[in-house]
Amino acid sequence: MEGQKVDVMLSMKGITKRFPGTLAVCNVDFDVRAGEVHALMGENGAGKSTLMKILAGSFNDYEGEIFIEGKPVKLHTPSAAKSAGVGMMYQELSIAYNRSVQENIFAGAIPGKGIFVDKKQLREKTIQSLARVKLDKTIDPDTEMKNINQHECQLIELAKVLNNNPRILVMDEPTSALSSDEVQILFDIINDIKKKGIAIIYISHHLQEVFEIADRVTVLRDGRKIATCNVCDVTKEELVEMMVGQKVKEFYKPKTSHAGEKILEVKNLTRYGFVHDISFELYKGEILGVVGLAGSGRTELGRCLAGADKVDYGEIILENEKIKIGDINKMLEKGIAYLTENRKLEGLALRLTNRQNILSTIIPRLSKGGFYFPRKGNNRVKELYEELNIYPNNTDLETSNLSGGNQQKVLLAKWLITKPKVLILDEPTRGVDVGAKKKIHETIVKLAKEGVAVLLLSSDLPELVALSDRVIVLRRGHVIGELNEELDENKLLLAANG
Amino acid sequence: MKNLMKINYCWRQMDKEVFSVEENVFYEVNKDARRIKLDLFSTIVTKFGVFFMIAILAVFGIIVSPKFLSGSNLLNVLNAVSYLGIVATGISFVIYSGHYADMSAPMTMAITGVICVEFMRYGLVYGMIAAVITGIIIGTINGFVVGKIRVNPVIWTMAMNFILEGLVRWSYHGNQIYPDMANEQTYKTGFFLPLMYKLDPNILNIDLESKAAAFNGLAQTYPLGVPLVLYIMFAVMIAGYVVMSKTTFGNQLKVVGSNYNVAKMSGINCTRTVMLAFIISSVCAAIGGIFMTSLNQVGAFYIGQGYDFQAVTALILGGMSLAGGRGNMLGVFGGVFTLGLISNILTLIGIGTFTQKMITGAIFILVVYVNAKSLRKLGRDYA
Repeated sequence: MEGQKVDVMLSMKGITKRFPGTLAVCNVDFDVRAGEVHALMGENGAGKSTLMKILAGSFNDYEGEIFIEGKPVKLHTPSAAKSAGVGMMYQELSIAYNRSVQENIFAGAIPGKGIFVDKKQLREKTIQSLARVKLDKTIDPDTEMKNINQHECQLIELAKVLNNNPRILVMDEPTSALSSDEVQILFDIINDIKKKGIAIIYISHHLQEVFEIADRVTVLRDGRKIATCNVCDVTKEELVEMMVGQKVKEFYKPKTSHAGEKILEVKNLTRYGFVHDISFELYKGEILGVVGLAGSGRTELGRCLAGADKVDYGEIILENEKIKIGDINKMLEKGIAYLTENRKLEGLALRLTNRQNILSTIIPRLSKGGFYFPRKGNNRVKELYEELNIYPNNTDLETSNLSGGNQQKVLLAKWLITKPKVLILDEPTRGVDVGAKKKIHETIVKLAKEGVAVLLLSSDLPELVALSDRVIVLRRGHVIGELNEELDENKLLLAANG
Repeated sequence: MKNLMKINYCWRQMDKEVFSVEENVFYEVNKDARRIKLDLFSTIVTKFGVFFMIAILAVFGIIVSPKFLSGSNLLNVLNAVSYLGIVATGISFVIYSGHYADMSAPMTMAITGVICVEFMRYGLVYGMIAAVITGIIIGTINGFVVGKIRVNPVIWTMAMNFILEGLVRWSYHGNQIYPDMANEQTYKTGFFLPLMYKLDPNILNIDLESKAAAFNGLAQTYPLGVPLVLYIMFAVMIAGYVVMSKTTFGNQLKVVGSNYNVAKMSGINCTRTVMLAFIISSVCAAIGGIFMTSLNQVGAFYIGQGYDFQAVTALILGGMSLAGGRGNMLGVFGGVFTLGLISNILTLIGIGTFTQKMITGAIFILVVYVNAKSLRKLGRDYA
């Protein structure tokens, strides 16, 4: 590249974005050249998605300047970003599954003759855009989207984005749902697009892919840029170290060995398409971490154990007694509690008071002869309030009035009050502030000391390192290994990536 | 300066958040600015709005007519809405569960009424039992389809209403059934009448007169000068209050109504809970149907017409939210009473039934607007 004139397509200078209480992106300089694939890496919460949302025009209050092809632009609305030539391809596809391919690709811009749809033109244009993603030979524009398999859906989404002739294309985790062959197809297409002089920003957790497809890489950590370098100049290990950094550890939990007795044994747990042949053991007082990338079956494992999802086959042996995997209610009675990762949709009813939310899991236990006596639970609620330091200290406040961190504490309290033997925590600290996170971590450790077995499903590597006694590694629905000695983030990241 | 600081670590003190930064410089961040204190007026409007309305209406009524405040007039108001009160109590459970409304209430009333008339020839108690059992069956079907198969409750119960209407009209060949009249022709139509005739042809010679008198008397009995149906309404409401707020079922129903998925993930048997709500709704409609049929002294498909929307109007007036999980029995009574007062005052002024309907509709819109607005003020725009 040296010696040649390098066109800088996008240049972001001094970008800062604040959220109440946090600095999501801090003084970041970021530039992308025309015709390159620029990987953007960082752990969860490093600021990647905030930076990309700024580029997509989701915020109108960022600080800093953005230049596209040297001209300053203000990306304060999504349409401004679109007309400036930014194309976004999100991880979650925006596809209407019961419409045809052509209607999906041209959604919102269907060519017409007067008030009627110009079907001929629509078909021709669709074939043209399918050709860009090499699907014109295999897919008929009239096919309904639901008959098209996942990786082709992804490509059709790409075709849809390419229709707007973007100069900058952002791809957020485009391969999370693809198999390795399909990834190769996608990479071929990316190489094609690249040759047309489009600047591509590629977000991925998969190190391997970054080395394969990217020209340069920028690493973000805690909202700041750590470095930008040519991919050929760095090794995997260096990259991981840049991402993880030398962090001030909040605290380390002293590791416990398998001194406690075995409480849970899972054998060959399988839910077709999600988790396969998962087997592990869990001991009293142990915190077992589960690490895996998005789509590795981490959440599904928790849901299957809790009885929220159907299990195709497999056994769960709790305290030497084989139990039938039933619905949530039955698993709860047996002592298996599952804290969902989705607080708003499945965790808390925001219109109930905190007390009602916390007691909602033990209504039958506080009942006698069909009548409900909530007063019996009030003391325990107060204890949990003090233990978790929930603010404001008013159990009759509606949960919707609490901050995210305190809501998360209420969610934890809701499951602690059931006195579980096995507590499955799915992302227990996602999206909460540092203070609440610390409190939740302390509580988890305290629980383990009291003899509760904790299964910790998390994408937060420092959390896994700090809390877990052992970590099992999930990849594409399978357990591929177990780490128990000297956990550190680099190891976990490498293990999950393979 | 702030931009350059890297936040590593923070913790919360009760009043302020303090961040420690890389250089060990501390700076304070403003306290959480979200409103935790609630707007008192909005809280009152959402909780007790209906009683303000009753007070305003009462003042209006006194101004309009001196007769308004008399005991007999108020008793009339209550008597007129007692049927609605019984049905609305049942439907309140469906709204509470977050499943909008039981639109099959009108035809449930009609069909339980005719079944009661059919069986009353064995005795009034048999008639009532048969009617309540019919209600339980209808409620179970509704509850199963909505709770288990998760069909849209409004669409399904409306369909059920049509099916039941067709059933009644078809099986009676479009005729009505009178408690005190029966001939050979009567025993050829109806649900169970042909069977009764087949089992015991002597049924033709039964003394219907006294039995019909007992049945028709239901709506005409005045223990201590107060109509029987009013006692029943209060009994149903008190029972409803106990079930809704004091039982395991009622408290689980609140969670289901507030957020179905949360309830499911909390180990609550949502299917069973929703089914029970629909069964309660249908049983209340059955009780209302028996009294309504007794009042009209005839069993027919039009008994209970319009009670679905009237009940929903009363419930929303009474502070229930179509989003579910909100409201209480006191509000249900308030809502029903308000509807009665409005109609009473309009009649005292001399406004006809058709005009009354329009006015009631307008009031409904106003109340929903005020309700939605105060909910939004409380930060609950999804209600």
